[in-house]
Amino acid sequence: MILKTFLIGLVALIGYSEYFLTGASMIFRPIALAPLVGIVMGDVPNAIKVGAAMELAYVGVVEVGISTPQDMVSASVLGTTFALSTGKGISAALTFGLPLSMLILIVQNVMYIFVAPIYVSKMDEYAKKAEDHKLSMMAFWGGLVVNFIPSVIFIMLAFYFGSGFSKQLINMIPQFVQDGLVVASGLLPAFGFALLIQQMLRKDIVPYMILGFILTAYLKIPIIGIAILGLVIVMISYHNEMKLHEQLKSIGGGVEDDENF
Amino acid sequence: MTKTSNSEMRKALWFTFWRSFAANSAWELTRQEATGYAFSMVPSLRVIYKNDKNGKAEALQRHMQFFNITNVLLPLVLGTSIAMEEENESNPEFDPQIINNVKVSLMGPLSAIGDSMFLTTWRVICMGISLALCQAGNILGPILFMFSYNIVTIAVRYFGLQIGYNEGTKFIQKMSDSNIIQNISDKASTLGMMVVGAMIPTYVVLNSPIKIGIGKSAMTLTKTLDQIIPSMLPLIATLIVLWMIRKKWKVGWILVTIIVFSILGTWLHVLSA
Repeated sequence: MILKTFLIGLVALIGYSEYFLTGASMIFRPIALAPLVGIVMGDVPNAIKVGAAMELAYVGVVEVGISTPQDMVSASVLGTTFALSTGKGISAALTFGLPLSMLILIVQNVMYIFVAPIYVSKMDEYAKKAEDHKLSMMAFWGGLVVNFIPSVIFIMLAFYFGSGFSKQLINMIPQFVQDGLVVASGLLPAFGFALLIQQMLRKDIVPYMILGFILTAYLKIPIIGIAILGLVIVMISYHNEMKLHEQLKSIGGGVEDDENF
Repeated sequence: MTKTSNSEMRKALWFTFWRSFAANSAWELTRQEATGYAFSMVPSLRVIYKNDKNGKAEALQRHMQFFNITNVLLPLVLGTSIAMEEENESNPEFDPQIINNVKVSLMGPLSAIGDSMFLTTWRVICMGISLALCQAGNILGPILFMFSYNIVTIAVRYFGLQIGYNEGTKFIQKMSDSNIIQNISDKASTLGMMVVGAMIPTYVVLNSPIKIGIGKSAMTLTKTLDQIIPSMLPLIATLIVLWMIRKKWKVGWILVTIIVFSILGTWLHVLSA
């Protein structure tokens, strides 16, 4: 158990490397972290399935600008561990993953507000003295220790103390609530897709969404086929726009350069 | 561009490239990516201001100013800053204030494009093509996701740094003048919209076991609706949530509404997975 807790902590650290080492590589998404949890728990195939279900439920969670809507690492790691240890799959992943990851988000925000300014002011000091080595150490290790180690420890504690009674706890939840959570996991992708649509929404590209919907709803074309088809459409329209631009240029010459590409 | 030997600078660029992966480590609320920006600049500044401690101190302080960008496009901006720092060291007429002005002017538009292209469109496409394998419990699924997403972003990072350094602001100026960035972003959104639309019937699951009709001809509500438009319930659900978002409901409330709605519906036997 101690070894497992340690390894779960390691997986969580790999998840947070999204920020401090692997440069937004999407390693923190459930789809990527769940298999690693599966290796620790000794059940990789089921972990991958839970990861896929969680990825869909959290598909709309995007860190745009400064807003962090959810701590994906703890939601993924703890969600997968409890989904596997209770044998309840996605409903356990949401029941435990959601509230615990919100708690961790609070821990992180406290660190960001009260502790992070310390290393920033240290870095200012080093910058003034041109001590680039110290500045680098502070930027990497300061961030790592302040922003991510507390969350890793929290995840390890939740795993160590939670694994025992998570089974009793989930059995206390009435069956219809558990079934309802499975229904919710099917509905959450709708939320995610709606968020993504809202981000990209412009009147002139709504038809493409309808086209994508029809192609899978009626013709059952797999997503990769849709993506290739989309690429073809984009290429055709790009070439048409280029041609139109050339023609406009050859006719009038009255077209300002900055209006076109 | 003669003051630093080329191989030395190439090496420094290489280190800056690697450091940019760790740039979000010391992210902080008030100045955000500033710490990571200074951190990534260090190897290049060491070479540029080899014999000029004051210059280095000034440069480090310059890059400790507020900055934030989609991490994938960070090396592009770093490249322009490095080129301008070189200019600053060799040309006493150069106003160093320009370096930060350029950073600030690039930050907004590049972030908007980077977020929509990588964090939304490309991530969702990669997820879409690997999800079927994942749902079958196949380890190739997660590997395909990580590989396809990162091979593109790492290439963008590498060539971004090179372009930023070699072409400097000229390139970005040309790009923004010619609307090419906006055009690429539009095309990416088009592709993204199509993929998201295609994912609704595949991955949003909502059924209703309510029976309509009597006796043998009775069909579930889902089946009845599917005869009009396949996957009609998932489509309606997505549109309702979209409406909530557009009405500026808080994210937490939408989440709670979905969960309560699901549990109540299951309890009343009108919804099933």
